[in-house]
Amino acid sequence: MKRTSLFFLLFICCYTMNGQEETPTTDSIPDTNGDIPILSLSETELEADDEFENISGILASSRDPFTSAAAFNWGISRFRIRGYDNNNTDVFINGSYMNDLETGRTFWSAWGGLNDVLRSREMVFGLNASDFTHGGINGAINMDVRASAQRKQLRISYASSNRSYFHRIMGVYTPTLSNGWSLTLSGSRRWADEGYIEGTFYDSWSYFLGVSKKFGKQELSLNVLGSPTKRGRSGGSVQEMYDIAGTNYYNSFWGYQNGEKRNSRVGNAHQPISILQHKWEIGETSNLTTTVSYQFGRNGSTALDWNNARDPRPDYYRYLPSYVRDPNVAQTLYSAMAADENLRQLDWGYMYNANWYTAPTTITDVNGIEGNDVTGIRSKYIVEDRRFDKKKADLNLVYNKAVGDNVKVNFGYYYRWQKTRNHKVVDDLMGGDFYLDTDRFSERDFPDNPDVLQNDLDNPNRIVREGETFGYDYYSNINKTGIWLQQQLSLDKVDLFMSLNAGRTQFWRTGNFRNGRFPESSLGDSEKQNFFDLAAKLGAVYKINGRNYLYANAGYLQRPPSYRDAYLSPRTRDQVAPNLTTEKIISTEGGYQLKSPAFKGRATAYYTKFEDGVSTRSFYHDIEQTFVNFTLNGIDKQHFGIELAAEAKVMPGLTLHAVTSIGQYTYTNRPKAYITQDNSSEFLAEGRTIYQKNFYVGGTPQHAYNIGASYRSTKFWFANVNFSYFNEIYLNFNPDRRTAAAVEDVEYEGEYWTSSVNQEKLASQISLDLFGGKSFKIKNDYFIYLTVGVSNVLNNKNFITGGFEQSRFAAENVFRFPSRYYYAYGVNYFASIAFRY
Amino acid sequence: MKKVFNFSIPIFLFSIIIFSFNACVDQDFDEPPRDGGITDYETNSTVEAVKKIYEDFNANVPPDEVAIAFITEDVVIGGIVTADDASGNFYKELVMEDATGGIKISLEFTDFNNDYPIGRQIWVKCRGLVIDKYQDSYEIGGGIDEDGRLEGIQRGLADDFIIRGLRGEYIIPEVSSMGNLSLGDVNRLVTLENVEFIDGETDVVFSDNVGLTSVNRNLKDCNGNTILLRTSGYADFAGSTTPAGNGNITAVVGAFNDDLQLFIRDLNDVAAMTGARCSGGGGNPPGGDCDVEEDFSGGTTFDPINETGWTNVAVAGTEPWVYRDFDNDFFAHKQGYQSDDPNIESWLVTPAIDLSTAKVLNFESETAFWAHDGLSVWFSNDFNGNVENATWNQLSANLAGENNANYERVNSGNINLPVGGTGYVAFKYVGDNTTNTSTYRIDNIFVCKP
Repeated sequence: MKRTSLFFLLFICCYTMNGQEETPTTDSIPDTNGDIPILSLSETELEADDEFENISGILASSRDPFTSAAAFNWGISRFRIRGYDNNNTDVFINGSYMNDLETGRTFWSAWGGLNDVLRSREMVFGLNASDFTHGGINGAINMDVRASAQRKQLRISYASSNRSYFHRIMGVYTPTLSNGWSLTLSGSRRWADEGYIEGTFYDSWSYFLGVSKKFGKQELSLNVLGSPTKRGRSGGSVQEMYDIAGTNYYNSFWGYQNGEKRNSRVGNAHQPISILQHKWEIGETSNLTTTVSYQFGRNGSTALDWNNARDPRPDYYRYLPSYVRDPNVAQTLYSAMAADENLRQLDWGYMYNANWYTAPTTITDVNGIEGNDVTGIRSKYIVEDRRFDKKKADLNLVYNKAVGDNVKVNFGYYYRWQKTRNHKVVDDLMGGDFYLDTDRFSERDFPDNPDVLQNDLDNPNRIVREGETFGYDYYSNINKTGIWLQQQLSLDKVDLFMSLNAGRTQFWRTGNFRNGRFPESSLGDSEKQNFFDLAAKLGAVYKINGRNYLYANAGYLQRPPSYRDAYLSPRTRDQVAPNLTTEKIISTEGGYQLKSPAFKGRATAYYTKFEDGVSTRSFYHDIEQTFVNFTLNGIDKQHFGIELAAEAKVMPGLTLHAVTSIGQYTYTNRPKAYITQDNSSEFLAEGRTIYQKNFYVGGTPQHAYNIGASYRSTKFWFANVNFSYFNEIYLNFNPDRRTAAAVEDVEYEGEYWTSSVNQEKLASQISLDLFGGKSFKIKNDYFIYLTVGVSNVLNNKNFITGGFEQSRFAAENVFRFPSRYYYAYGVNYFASIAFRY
Repeated sequence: MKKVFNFSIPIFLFSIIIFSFNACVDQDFDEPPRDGGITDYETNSTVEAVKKIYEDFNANVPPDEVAIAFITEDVVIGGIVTADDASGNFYKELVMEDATGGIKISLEFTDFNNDYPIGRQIWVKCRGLVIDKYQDSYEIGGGIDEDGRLEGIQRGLADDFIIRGLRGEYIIPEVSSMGNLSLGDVNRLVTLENVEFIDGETDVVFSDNVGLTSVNRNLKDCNGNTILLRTSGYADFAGSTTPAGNGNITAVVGAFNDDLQLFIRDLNDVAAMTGARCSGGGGNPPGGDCDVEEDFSGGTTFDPINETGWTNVAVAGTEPWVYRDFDNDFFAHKQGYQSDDPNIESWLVTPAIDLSTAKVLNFESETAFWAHDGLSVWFSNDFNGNVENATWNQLSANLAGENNANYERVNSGNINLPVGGTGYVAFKYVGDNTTNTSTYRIDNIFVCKP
């Protein structure tokens, strides 16, 4: 009774406060020892840009066969647990919140290559209770990187792979120190001149410093880590190009420059994180953990930009045989492109020459200064660097207290702040003298209004050179604060928990340019957007006996729209989507678990409903020559399904397992679309109904199956074999094709109507993976570990994992802009040798 | 044992570090080679001979059955690019010329001036290409589409057919005159000496850069010859104004319905037109001897039209026709939108026209924000200064209307006026400030001998 009243007291306290804990909920797919990259495309990012692909450096230490399968064996299919978007897991390092506040997503690459120091972590699945955060619908992860928590060792490893990188050298050193001091140093280098996909170089370092000192019951830890990484990217293409190139790993982003492969899309990120943590054991029953962290640095990705010149992308639809109307010529072109790699790749020589041989022009009144005329070559082609330079600070406080033997109370407070400078910078003028900071679409459409075409109206006719900002320049300002409270009750037969979370989110835009199209709504601070959110979770475990458990959890969560989704066209103005509101999520899960020495099993059913979601994405429209922004408001989804996992020890050392995830993730309503473009204040569509009810959530198999065997020898070696089957994979769809307007001019339910409206289902796939290793103990002093993993042993190169329909479409013939696909790698390996002392 | 180990670890570490730092991922690139072009390539034919392939293919074929000809022989021609798409006046077609003539090459990609700029020597390996003739212009293309029309050379195949030579080898255009040009000169670059834009078409925009439609302007020489200068609305100089002076023009010759036209590449082609204009009139459309030649130039924007001999009166409402201008091209303007007048009826009447001989009326109209047909054209024999007392008969003219883009210029066509006595033409605008609010503009009003 007393405990209950305490809980309700805290509930009221929590409820009446304005703060609230943000409740992002996602699933993260932890990576495995083999560094299998888990790719997840941000839907809020530009299409075809896998700029934010997440490489989870986390090792799936979980013994849970389901998690293990999802991480190791289903990664190839870009499987997402329960189909949840990837912004749904809260990730912490030493209690410091790591999700990006602008998108809600976690960029695992920020600590890539530091696997050696990230091995200690606490994972919370689904709606279960967590001691370090309120958590979302897909749980949370906290990685404990304190030097004092690291294993005392010197470990050096070399790995070879044919995935993103070919070589990896990684080391960690944690000496034994006295007087309560601990120290950990780690670093790595990962590189490849070319990864699995042509034209993708990889060049990454990482560093880690951890110092901690214990003062009696208190401990202070400082950690600094970072992972400066440059890499050439790859993008999905249309099947026609894959067929012409003769490979499903065709990459249009690169081309030869003087015989060397140069990639136009180079990611270059370095966002070091510093974390200061104080842990305090207060008496026998409680502890207080306080963390302050700061992260800053650059995150950019280059791309080509051009004006008064043709589209340089080799897979631009007008250059493809399918666009040719003379069938004989189409065949000739097909053969020519198949035979000549240069016709399939970027032509850097052409672009440089286009710049070099451009006649010098005189730009008058540069920066609006009369008589300030500059003469030189205005580049037609440049490489630009689209930057998301972040500053982020985080204060996190968690208080845990045990009340008696049965009750644990957790209380948390946080304040999170992030300011991201979104802008683009001239990276390479490619032989020209300068670039002009004007909007080329406006040049054509408003020939008599010189103001309109200025991107920076206060400095009209601005010329920019390498390293200078142009196009757009704004800060996103976000802060979140909140508290959470949880009570866990542990009885003989029943465990119960309840938790509450209340938070406040505020964000606004600060423009650094007065945009000529939007002079009144682009410069300076915008109106501040404020959202309050509440969340509650409730769960119970019923212990039938020591081996059989029943459990059930339920949660209700509100989630403010992410900054990235809230603004219609943040590059140019501060207009937010109409009727912006918090997303509401109701989720329940329940099941049965069996834990016995010879047999382990788990069966879970879940149901989750999302309401009032908002999403904004932008794409470059080559005819309009501008970014078109597509905001969907009021998105409802439901995700339900079952997860089954069983593991049996059939003989000493040999374990068999079977794992299944069968779900159905669908959109359940018809949201409204608001379409804008970067250079016009007019809505291209306002409140257009999107007929996406009962469409499937794309980009993940909705059904995944895995069976496998693992043998662990007493002679220090092990081998695993896994077979996976994936089904019900749907392509992400372009909502605008599911509108009355899109099909008004084609025959009702005719071929084009059907192709425009129906969602594409991708083929079922299989995958076979092998993994094994052996360890040697030498002279009682040091160990050698060998591990080898081979994925997709059957070399299935026709495995479409996802892709997207092009945002641009031709209503009269949807085949003109066919979908772009991503293929899973064929057979690939990862082998490592490690020395530990 | 332990000693050995302790010794080996630093060596191992050292070698790892050396290995790692040596493993640079080279991302520095040298500049690509310059595309200066080759100096020579063997030719075995001429532009004239290639045209003959088309003629031979269509010899003995009835006119309605002529078709695009395939070039199946190893024909190689060489020439200099005389027009590219840098200014936008030419789109997806370049013009090249050798000693025997000029020819168009149709391309399926834009911004080809980066590859084949004016003045560049090129050689075309014609085998596998096709040739067509349209409006007296021979054009080489890459294929034939499903409608039987010429399709340009594809980007991915261009290097198989077109070889790039030296840049800057500009051709010196043949000096000619309007009277000497013939259909055989189509696609040639020529210089015409001592020409000028006709009265009323000086200091006006070359083309419609708002509505993005092509516009014809008239050039004349001092001998009374005229020729059209046609300019695309997409040309980057479309919004620039025509020179007022007399001088040389350089242009590519084209044709439409067997009438010759000129196309300039950019404003440098008319830069010499700064001299004194021809003395005496002549050369005005539709013919010579005009009773009315009104381009409203020299007016003051928003002032009521006040031209000698003209009558400008508001029969309903208070606002007569006013002057407005676009880039200094003045015209008469009337709109209902934002008018103070609930009912508008405004008349603009020409000076007296001597109709003892046949006369032809020609003018241009525009509409914008069209809401109603507000403009009509009338004729009277008994107008004496008061429109309400005169007898008016409506004339049938081709007027800007609902289907025209905002401010798209529409030529009235030549309208024959009734012969006999003295006549007047009136432009009447009727509207209001609520629903019938269309903007109408009229300009370049000519009443001349046919």
